[in-house]
Amino acid sequence: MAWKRSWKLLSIDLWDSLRPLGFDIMLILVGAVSGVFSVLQPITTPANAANSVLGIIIFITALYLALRASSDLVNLTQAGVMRVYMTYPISRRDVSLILYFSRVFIPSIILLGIPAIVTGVMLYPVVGRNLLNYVAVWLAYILQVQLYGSIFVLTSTQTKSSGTAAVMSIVGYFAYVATSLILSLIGSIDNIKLLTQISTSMEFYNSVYYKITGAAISNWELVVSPIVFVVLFLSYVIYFARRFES
Amino acid sequence: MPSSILMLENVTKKFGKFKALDNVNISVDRGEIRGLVGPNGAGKSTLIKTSLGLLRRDYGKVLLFGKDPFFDPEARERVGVIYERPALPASMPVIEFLSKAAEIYGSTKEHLRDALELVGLEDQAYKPFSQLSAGQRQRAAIAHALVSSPEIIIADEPTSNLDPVERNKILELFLEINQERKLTILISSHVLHELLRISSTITIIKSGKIIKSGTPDEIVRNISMTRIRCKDPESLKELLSSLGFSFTSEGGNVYVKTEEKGIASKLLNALSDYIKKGNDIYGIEFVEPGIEEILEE
Repeated sequence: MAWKRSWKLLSIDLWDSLRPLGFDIMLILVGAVSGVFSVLQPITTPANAANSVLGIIIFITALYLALRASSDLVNLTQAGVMRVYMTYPISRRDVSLILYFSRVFIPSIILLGIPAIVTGVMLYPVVGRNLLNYVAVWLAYILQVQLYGSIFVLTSTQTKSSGTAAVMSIVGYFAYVATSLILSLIGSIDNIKLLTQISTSMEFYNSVYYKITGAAISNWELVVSPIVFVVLFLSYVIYFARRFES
Repeated sequence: MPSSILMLENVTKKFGKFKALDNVNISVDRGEIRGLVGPNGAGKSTLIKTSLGLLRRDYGKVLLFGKDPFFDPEARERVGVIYERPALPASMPVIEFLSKAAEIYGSTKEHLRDALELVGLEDQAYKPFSQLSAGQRQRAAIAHALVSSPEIIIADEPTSNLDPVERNKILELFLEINQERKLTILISSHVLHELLRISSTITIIKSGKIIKSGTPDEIVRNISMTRIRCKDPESLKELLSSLGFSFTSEGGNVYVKTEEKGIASKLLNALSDYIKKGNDIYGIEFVEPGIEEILEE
């Protein structure tokens, strides 16, 4: 019964989360971009195929989620719809999970899934050689987006203004990416291996890509991003279940 | 079956250092219409949100159907909620949203049709919520509250955004729901006379504290007002003052406290003499007291 109720609430919130016109434009955009990038670059391995296309798409996806998962959730609270959700006989923990699924997980699966399918079809001769590697890199991107999404939903529970939530989320995303880039640059220029490793570990898809392609990579570099995601995600769920007030 | 559906015991809710609810005790019994009245910022919405488990209390106990609504979602199983600003997903057709809401509660389609019919929204149900007028939105929100087959409806200032005609219709609807369906209703407002019309019990709240609670008669028993509209309020005020009446004035209106029948009769005699002396009086009206008069008492 609880699952059935949660499913119904999920379907209500998905209507808003995937509403036109924004989501439709995003679908066309990611589909077109992935089609173009699939044929622009010389691609030799399945992992390379996934990485070269999804590396661009993750940027678009993150910005979209920053608006839908952060700013729109604050709007939902300000408009009073969140109060309506919270008065249903559904536990606060389940509501937090429903919102995460509808605002982060499902949109990210679609927005990263369509380019993966487009690239998979267009470059099937390459991708088909090792579908498992291709899917592994795709899943790594999915997890990375969940990490960003967790930052966004956590931000939405802490702010009262949708504008502030959007700005904080986008700034947070760019700060994370820039930190990784700067560490990588300093590490390469000054030959400080630890900085390069931290940079790699901050982006899970890089760790997985290096692992698949046989580059030297420590095991800890593979677990940093998943751990950060789990911590952020649990913080969001626990905060929502125990402290969030609408 | 316990007679009390909702019970708050020594509930305190703080926002920072500000006490929005201060040691509040209230019990809403099955079948009653409980009016919660207080000026803006008195703590009405905080009390309602705390009762529903939307806000976390700092101290005290909240029981809705014997369960703590903050931790136990089943406490909200048989509760319909209506807010001051009706908010349903804006772009979704009302009927579609209500169907899904009905499924959350395990209600049937007949139940949904029944709710739409009761609020008179059958013809507008296929429109998105954003395309409805203020009154229709509130009706949609009431239909939403009814699809859960509730035993209690909790309404937080449901008439505050409506024009007087819609206000009356919505209040009549609450009365009808209570009388025909035997639903318990907790309704808040800052307009006392609205709730005096429909409530079986009134609770007055101010600065987060329950000031008074009782039947409408008990609440207004000793406070009645007479409003006088006249051409020259100053001369009337002089007369009233000389005769020892307690009064206030607002614009061209003079409000006289007429707690006892003797005082009302004395006032009418005085006004009769006042008119005989050639002064103009446009209207005399016995009015129910406002929240200010109750709080002043």
